[in-house]
Amino acid sequence: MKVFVTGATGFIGRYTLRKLSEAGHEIRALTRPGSEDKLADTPDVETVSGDINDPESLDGAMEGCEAVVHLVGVIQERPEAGVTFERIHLEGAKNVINEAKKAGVSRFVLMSANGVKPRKTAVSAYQWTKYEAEEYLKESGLDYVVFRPSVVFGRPEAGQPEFASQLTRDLLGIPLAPLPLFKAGLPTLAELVKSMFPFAKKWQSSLAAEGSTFELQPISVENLSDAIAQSVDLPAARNQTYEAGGRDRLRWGEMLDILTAASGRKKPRWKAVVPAFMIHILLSLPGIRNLLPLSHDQLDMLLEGNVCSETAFFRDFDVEAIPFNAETAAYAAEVEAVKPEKEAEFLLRHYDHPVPNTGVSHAKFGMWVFLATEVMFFTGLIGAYVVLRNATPDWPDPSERLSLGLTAVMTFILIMSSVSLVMGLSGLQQGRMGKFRLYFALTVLFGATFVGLQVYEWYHFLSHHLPSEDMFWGFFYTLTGFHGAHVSIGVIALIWVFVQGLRGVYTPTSHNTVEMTGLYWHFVDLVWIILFTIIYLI
Amino acid sequence: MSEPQHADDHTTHESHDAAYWKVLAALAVFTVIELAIPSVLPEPRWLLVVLMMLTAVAKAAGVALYYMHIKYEKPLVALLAFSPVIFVGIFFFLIMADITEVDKGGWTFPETQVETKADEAH
Repeated sequence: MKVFVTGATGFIGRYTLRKLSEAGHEIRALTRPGSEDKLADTPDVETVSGDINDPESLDGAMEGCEAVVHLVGVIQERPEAGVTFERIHLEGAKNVINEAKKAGVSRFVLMSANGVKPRKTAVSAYQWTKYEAEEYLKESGLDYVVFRPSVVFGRPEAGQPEFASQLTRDLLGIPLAPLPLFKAGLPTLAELVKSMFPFAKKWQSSLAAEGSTFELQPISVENLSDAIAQSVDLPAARNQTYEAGGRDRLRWGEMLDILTAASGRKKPRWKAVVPAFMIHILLSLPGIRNLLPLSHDQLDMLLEGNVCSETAFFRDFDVEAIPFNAETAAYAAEVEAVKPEKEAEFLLRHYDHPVPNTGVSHAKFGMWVFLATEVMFFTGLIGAYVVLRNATPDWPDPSERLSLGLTAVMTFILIMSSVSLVMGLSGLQQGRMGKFRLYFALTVLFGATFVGLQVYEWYHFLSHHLPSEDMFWGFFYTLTGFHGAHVSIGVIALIWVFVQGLRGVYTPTSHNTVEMTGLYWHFVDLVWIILFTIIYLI
Repeated sequence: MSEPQHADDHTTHESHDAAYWKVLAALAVFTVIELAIPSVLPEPRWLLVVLMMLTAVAKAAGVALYYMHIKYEKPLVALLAFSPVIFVGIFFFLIMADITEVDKGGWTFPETQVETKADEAH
């Protein structure tokens, strides 16, 4: 039998091509103009160029075919690219169905989805557009078979969205963070408490079972594509709608545990209950939307659960159910390996590069907000100093107690470290790595010298004057101590950045860490300029 | 130290290197001025304090504007950087009220205790 397939380059499409070909069918696949070579590795598949949203391009494409398998679908809308659920799922399907009628095919197999429903009750356009496509097909007069699968798992090819590998990457890929157990309402007190104790085994396993109440019924792509291939000529399947799910219903928390085990970890990860409304709020904030791996629609559909009655599916088709477990899902963690460059691109987009709505990168924004809190921290200390100094009679002349000469040298060294740091950064930006290394080495040297001199100063003074001696010494140690701690942290950060720089981690276009460390270091210098005047000179 | 293949980048890339060195010179000069003020102009005390603080703030501003790149950044960065200054202003306004209250004798501090401890140390 000659079968016309749309969506052949997709996740389910690729598997379906193989099963159809194994069953001895001839295949003609529709490819979008420009994507023809995506099927270059399947020479026995005849390709025809066309676009489901361009009816003229479909004209005559199905001539000579006896069955059509329509698999095209999207999981996320991209309105700016003209990709909406309505356009792809409904209008596209209508065009293909109309053309199939014209070509006189004897059977039309439609890929729908579990949970599709009329527009009135749908939580997402995903659901009603697929539903209306089903309705259109049923009224077309064609012999039809509709598949409504739950989530479909199986090893995807690079770039194909597949739920288990996406979950592994987006949720399990974040180290140490708890895995979210989404919940429609408010969590109970018990759930909140259990969420806070990652090492309480019993509590965590009861959370996994009950934290999220919705269930999924993953079906293997092998099983699904096998059934699709059989459905093109199976008499029993005529005008049937099959809910396609695996044999097991899995709670969300159990699913996360399976994926954790599939990624090679022996113990389950920490799980915590997350009210869905919080995610909705986050998704509403500008800038956050792109950081989260799911959309409003997807979250709503997830919370609805995704279970079905799989009996008819396994009765009519000759397939052996593949369960979803740590072995069958082991690919999910391996697929991650194709991701790094995309991940890097993602991070670059959100971290290193200016965000369009602020013009400033997230890292820089965050660093400046942090520095603002640091300003307030030192303001508090200096404020206390001003008040208590004013209330203390006979405040000593600092020059009689402290060594101005040494401190003047320290001040100059710290200022020098700031200028060498900006010179190093400028070298990096110009791609002159030698300049970067030289000036950064100097910065580390200056910073360490400052700390060394301060340790010497403290050592010298502490042997004669304890902080408790009087208000003057109390403030001297408090103010220079907190500043010294900041400088020490800064030196450690500078050494780290310097070493990373030597290893070639930073490039003229990507060196955010260098810039952020620099901001912190200059701030420490700036605080010293003020403290020097206040403590040593006035 | 510089790699020859990047030599021409120096001219094409927008460089603030010259400004950095000028700012360093200014910071050095201001520091010398600060060190000199107390001996040149010890009285009146309030004028000395005001001059010293102005010099310190000018130095800090130099570091913030040039080394921390506020001058070359989007206005948002300047806004973020300036935001705590507003609170610092409020804070010191209230502190000044506190200090003037002390001058009127409205507040007392355990001065005797501080002096006793200092005496013991001697």
